[in-house]
Amino acid sequence: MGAVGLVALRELIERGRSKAFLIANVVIVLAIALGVLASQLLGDPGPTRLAVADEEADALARVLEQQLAVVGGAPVEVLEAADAGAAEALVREGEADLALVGDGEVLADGGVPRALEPLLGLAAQSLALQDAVADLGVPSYLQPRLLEGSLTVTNVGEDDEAPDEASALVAFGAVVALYALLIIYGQWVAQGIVEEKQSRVVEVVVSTVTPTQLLAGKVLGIGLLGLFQVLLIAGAGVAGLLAATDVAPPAGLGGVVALVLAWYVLGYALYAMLFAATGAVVSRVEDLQSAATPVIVVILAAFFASQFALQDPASTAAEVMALVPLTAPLVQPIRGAAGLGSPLEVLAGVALALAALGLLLPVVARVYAGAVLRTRGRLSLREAYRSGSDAPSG
Amino acid sequence: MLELSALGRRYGDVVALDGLSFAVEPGQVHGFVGANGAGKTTAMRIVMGVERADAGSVRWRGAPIDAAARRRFGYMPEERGLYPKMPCARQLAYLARLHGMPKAVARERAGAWLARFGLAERAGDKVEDLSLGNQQRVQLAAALVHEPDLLVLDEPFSGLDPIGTDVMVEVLLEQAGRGVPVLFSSHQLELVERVCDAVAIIDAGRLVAHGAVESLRRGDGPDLVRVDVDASAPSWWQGLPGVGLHRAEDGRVLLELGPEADPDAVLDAARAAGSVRHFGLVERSLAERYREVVGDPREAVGQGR
Repeated sequence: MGAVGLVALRELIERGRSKAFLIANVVIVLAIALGVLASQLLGDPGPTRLAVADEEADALARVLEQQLAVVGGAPVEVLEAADAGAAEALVREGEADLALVGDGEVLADGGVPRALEPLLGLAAQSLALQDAVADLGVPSYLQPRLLEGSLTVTNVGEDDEAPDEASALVAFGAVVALYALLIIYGQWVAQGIVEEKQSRVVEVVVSTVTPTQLLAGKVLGIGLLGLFQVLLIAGAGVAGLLAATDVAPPAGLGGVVALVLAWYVLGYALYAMLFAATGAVVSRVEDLQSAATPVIVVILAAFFASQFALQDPASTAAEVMALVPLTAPLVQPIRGAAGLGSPLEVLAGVALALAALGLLLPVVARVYAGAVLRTRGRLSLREAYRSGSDAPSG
Repeated sequence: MLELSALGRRYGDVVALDGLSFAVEPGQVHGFVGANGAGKTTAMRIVMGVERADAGSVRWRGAPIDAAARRRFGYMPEERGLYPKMPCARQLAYLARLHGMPKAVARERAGAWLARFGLAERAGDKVEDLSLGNQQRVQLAAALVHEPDLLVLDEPFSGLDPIGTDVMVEVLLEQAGRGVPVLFSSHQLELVERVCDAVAIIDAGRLVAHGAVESLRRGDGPDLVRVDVDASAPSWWQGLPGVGLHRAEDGRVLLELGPEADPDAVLDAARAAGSVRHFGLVERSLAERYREVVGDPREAVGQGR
């Protein structure tokens, strides 16, 4: 096995055995399992129970039922009560969620559910309108036509269908996971570099392998651990999504997962380079946090960009961010989950990311070579780059 | 054979090495002595490829050193360092594999060296959980685990207790015994004198004395004679040809006898001056020789490059 492989293997084994890594894996699986369980328990609260006190209230409840059927809200169950007092009693005893007691009065125990409140208002308006139309003396067979609105939807976009709830959920989960993993594993790279400097073991290692081999092995080994975790999240996430009966798995789920994996690899490679450069120029782990702040700010900005893209995946801004190397890892999965993002866009994004990596690699390797044996104090990136040109090579 | 020839290195205005040349022969235990900042660490780091030379070259077995040759070197840096959270045995096996050993052999050698240093039971313990003395032993094992062709040890004796020192001496002699050139730096001149076949003394990046310990001690200076005489005239030796005062020692004198001096004449003069209690040729120690070529050896005590 070559030097790079040996270094990578050491990172994989030593960090893979660490409690931090094992605990993180357990937490991820538990969190996803709990999420699925919670959506099963809380996601379907059952029909809203309406106690109606008279015919007028009953009519209101029926209109509400129709409206809910149209907008796809949770159904209502109508309970007939003898009078207003009986209806109120049902609410007090917890037998009903709401009581409609005529004259638009609603009795509730703890407030009207948010989603229901505007609909109740609309239903009342609609009833009042029906009465008004009837009072005007319009023949009964004409009444429905007067009240009927007509709406024709024409899709003028390129896309066949709007993103559904499930794919937005997948996109959000994927981006949060990617964001967290890029930060965690990027920082592991920086930390690993500083620890080697601080413990002075780096001089022993660099007398055997070149700085570039050491850097490459470290980035590779830690990246593989991260990849394992991405696969774990993707596997558990997809399994959870399939297990959750109230969310239909979105079409093209496999494609989205593939996109997430590919962008983890590219995003990690890019950000690991930036983290490596910041780790190389400091000598103590205590100084790392401040040195790494600019890189963390960049990831954070990319994360906010991805949240913006989540709101409006079809926007021009999202299209641009899907191509910019440092935002693409977090934006492309979102566009992919939304059914946007042509193969051409994916290829262009990947090509740009690879090009950026090609530019970054020699610079970071040189900064690392120039700084890795300076085990005292802190260098500027410029100093490190300059001394990297004449650094010894193994 | 390891040859350093005309090595030069500057850090800004500071000259660390100024045309340093010497060679270490196969099987030789070679000491490297000089004050702090004289350039010992810089020279050793250049040999190990972790520091660049501005001028000159290092040759190993007659050729410039490439990565493959250097992988066969064993190195103990001035600033000790291992992975603190990695267990001893895995760490040594890892380093052995980096030096090109196959996996099974690497494991076997790691275990063997730990056993040799009485650390077999600590093989699974993290390095940071060991005492400082034991960490030093693991550090030495790290330099030896791949059965190196050359050993470069920067201050291997610093911080060792007497037993640790004995073990280190034993290992250095044993390695030299299998034909490995051993170059090590130290401030402990008595130890260097006892252990080394040859010594290089450097000052301000330049070689000021180099050679076998025996010839180095004798040097090319005058013989020293210590005389203890109950003399009424303190300067009884004055006027004798080729004789000068090296040092007065509380009633006794240390005289320098040049080539034209006649020891018999000195003894006669002493007897004439009074009753002679002691008259003898003084064997000079390496420390005394060091003081002659560099200055006061008290400056050389302590840590540093």
